[in-house]
Amino acid sequence: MAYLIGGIVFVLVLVLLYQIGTVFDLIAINKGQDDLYEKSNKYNALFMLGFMVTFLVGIVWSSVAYSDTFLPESSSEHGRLIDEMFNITLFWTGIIFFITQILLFIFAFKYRMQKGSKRKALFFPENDTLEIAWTVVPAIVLLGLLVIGVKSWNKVMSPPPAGSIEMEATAYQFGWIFRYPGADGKFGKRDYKLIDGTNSIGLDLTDEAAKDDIYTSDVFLPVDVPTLVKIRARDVLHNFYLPHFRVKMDAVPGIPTRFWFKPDVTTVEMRENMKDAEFEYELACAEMCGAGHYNMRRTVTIGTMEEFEKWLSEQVTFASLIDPDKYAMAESTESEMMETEMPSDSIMVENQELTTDSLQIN
Amino acid sequence: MVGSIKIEDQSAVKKLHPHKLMLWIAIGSMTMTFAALTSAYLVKKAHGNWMDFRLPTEFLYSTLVVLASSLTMHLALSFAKKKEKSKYLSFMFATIALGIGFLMCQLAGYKALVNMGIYLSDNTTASGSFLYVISFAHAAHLIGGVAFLIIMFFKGVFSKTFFENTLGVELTSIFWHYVGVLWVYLFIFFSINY
Amino acid sequence: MADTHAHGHHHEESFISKYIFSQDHKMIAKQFLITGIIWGVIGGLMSVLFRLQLGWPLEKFPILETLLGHWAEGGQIVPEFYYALVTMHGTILVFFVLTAGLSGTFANLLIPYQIGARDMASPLLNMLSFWFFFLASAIMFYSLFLPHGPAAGGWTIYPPLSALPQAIPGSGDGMTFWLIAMALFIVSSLMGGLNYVVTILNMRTKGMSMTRMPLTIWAIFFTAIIGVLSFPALLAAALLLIFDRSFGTSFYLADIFIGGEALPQVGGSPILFQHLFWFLGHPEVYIVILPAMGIVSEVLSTNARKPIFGYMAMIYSILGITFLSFIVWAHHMFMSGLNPFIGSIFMVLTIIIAVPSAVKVFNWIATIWKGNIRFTPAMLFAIGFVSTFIAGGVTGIFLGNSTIDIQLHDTYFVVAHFHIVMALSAIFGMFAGVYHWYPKLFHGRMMNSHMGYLHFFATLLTAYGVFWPMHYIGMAGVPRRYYSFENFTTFNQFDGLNAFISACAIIGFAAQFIFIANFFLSIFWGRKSKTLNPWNSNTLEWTTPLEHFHGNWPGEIPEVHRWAYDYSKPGAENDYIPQTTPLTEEELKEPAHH
Repeated sequence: MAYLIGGIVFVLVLVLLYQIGTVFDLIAINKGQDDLYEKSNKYNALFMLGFMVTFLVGIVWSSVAYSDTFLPESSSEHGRLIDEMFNITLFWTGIIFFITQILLFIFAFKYRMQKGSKRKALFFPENDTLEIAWTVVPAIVLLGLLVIGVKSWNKVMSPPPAGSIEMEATAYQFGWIFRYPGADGKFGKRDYKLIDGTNSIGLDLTDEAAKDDIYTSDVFLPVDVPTLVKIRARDVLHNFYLPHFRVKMDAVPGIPTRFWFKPDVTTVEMRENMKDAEFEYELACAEMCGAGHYNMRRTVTIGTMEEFEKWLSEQVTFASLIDPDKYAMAESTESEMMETEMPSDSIMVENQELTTDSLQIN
Repeated sequence: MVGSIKIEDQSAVKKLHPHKLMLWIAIGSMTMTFAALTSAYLVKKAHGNWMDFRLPTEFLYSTLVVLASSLTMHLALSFAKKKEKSKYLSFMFATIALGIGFLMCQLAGYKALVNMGIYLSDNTTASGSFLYVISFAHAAHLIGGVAFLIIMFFKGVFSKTFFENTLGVELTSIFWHYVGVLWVYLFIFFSINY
Repeated sequence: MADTHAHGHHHEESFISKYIFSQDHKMIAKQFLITGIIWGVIGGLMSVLFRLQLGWPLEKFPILETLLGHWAEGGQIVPEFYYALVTMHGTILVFFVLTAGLSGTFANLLIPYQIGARDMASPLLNMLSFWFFFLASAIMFYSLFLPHGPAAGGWTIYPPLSALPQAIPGSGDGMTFWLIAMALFIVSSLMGGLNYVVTILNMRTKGMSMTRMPLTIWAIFFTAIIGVLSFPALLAAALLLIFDRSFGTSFYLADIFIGGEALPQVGGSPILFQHLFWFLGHPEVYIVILPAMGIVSEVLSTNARKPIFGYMAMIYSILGITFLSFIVWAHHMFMSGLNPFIGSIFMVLTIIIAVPSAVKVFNWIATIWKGNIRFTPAMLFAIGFVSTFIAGGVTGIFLGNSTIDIQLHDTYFVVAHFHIVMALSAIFGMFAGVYHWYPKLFHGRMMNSHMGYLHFFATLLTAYGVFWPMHYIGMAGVPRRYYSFENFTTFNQFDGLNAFISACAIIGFAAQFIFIANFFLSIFWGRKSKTLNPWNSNTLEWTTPLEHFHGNWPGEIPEVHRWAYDYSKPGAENDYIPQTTPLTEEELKEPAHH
């Protein structure tokens, strides 16, 4: 009932507004003018000018006010290239933006039709010099941006340098499974048809290289070492997104993708820089993947090589998760295994929570 | 009648009747559909997981049939322009028959494919599915063409003023040739790529 | 020339043939416009609903549960419904409002009027075009009420998400309805586009050479060409998707384990779909923006009482944009695993588009320089368009650069960019067009000007209030299409800003009812224009009588002697010279502009 009354009041207000507008319109006409614009032109021109001031001042103020919420300086080498490219582009487009906005609104104000004025508009249909100028100048600026852009793009997308370590990230609805190649430095084969409740990525244990592959539920990487991330998806499209490292790459079912980067600020250093003892690097999904898209958080820790090796030695192998009887765990104790989140569990729990049709793992 | 307004010949460009121009642009649009499908085919093939097989000979027969139908269509149009009713009707009839014959050949082709073990719903590779889907899309256009042929045939039988204005037959003929050429393109495309 | 005019006037048209199954381009324009407005309200309302969730994620709104039932249990929208809302908001606004509502309205209204034709080349096809659109609308609307909800895989319907009901409930029936509706929509667009191109090429009145056409017509012409050549790619993409969904093929699907089972499909490529989709999807944004550019060129020139600056440059830049729009699609896919070399080629092509766009902006600014500007509501929106087009255009230079796109791809920066440059600009162009040609649509009645001013400033302020802060959120790395940011310490610091955005969105949405009231009340109460030509405009449509009849001109179609932009010409008596005025002796000696 309240909504009904509210709706009726809303409609009445609109009708009233219309009638007031009509009165304004009529007053303008009754003063002997043919049209409305002369009467209202002054106010509209002033409002245009007022808007310009509000808008431009607002932009400058708000970008300063919010600058401390922007991402901190990149924690990876290539990320600083991206940030630099962003700033160069911001500088040049900023100039164009302010010049054109100011000209637009100043002209709108200055060249308004004025009451009683006999001024006529300038008949100015074309001017070759001007037109060539504002084709060529933007083209040169853009060419400059392109040259730097292509250069940095090729650098970022270059093949990973020798001495890189590798890890694999597999995305699913709605989480991540990580794999490190183990002592042999090689990833074992996988086949999606082998995926089941315990074998979360379909690892083929008949492959020798697969037997020492390590499962982790979060990411740990050594500082100052290039890392190649191999990215896979198990069901739909996802995206491996590390905002602080400027890393982003789609995870595509059936088509492996990759991205390499060199983290160079450890989590501990970052905590000091940010003055936030709780700070964690985060991994997010950046390609819409379903109802739990917003929920695919994992933490990423950057530490020294020693810390990394120690951490890795504490993790379990996939083999021990798939077939605990056959592949006894050499490195980890029973209690640590209990703490480790089983990937199959996480699949079941999150699926049941997030989709209406409850999905069961066989 | 609201739609009775005649299209006046207002334009400085009087070469092409508006409906003919419209058909040509529509043909451009249809070509884009098949260009998209065949480039999808090439992209998919380059991506791998592809099964090569020999195209059944039935598709060669259908190509010959569709070429023959273009010839009969051409003759039908020229007789329509000469206002020779019986010859027009017989060649129209032949075109319709050949059109249906083409569809039969396609069906036989699908049957041959199934005998070779290549199914539409093949979930191991898209190579067979592409052949089915693209030729279905072509057949849908051709069936539309046959419908127009049938309309033009019966107009020729019943309408008294039919031969005064052959625009309808001309449009049908352009479309029919297009569908034929389209199939020839697809046939060559498939022959090269399998 | 047959005196067909006499017929049109005296026909006893039945209600049905006049208002429903009308073949008259003016009536069809109205039908497109009103359907578009209804879709606009629905699409806008959806954005209000999901902005409620984003602005106040912890708040409960009991009214939502009353209205939406299980989609908003406890007064909070559930994630599945949130994703359905963003999907349908995108689909509705891009296709149903800004393609059909904008092109459909102004192409139909302006082509025959401004080139001097009695109707479209095929009025029948034109009528069918609307009714296919209407059917598509009805099916899409029905899909909103399906038990599992409408399509929810994003308006880009990327498979596998859109192919598998296990992945999201909306990919079941909702997606089927989406595909059917869009197939009909494509048919409608193609019918319309064919008609527009042919009419413009073939049915111009005597003297209306191509280079005398108003820029509205040029813009619509290229829009129609883009549509005719790019929609087929979406049709092909959808066709293969239908086979994947229903017939077990594997065009797009490969190696999928979902819902506890491994699907049999191997060897498909989801990237293939993205190529096909964006081959339409990118030209589609130009389908949306070009008609608005045309309208704005016309409105700016008329109300600045100045010829459009650089008429030929304007045409060449539209031509350039049209051509380039077909070869930049992969810039939506920089982060999809695309070969980096191909990526760099697409970066170069994408950035080149900025040149013709910049030329247009400078030409518009030069058009109002030393003008004699009347701020009609249409003019206000046209200036607003130039402002938003600049604001959204410059961020395109960031995103077109694949290096920067690594960081910005799928963040709120992208949302800010395309909403400002495409959604706001196009809708501003549409408003400008409606205010400007309202007297032609409704028999000489004018819209209420003061309400128009209010509408404009309320819209401009709230629109920037909504989309400008999104740049900052995007620069902080926040991804788009997130139902909630609470889980991430990196993303959850914008509660205040998100609430501000949502407040602006709600006020902005409410402000649109000022327009809607103005639009519908003016049909009955609008001031009658004193002359046939209330804006003292040069173009042909203002020479037609106020009362509509099929055939447009009661006598012969007037002959055209000059271009559409002879405003404030030195030596002329008035500050405008209609296109029908013959050239004077002196003018004949001049080299250009007629």
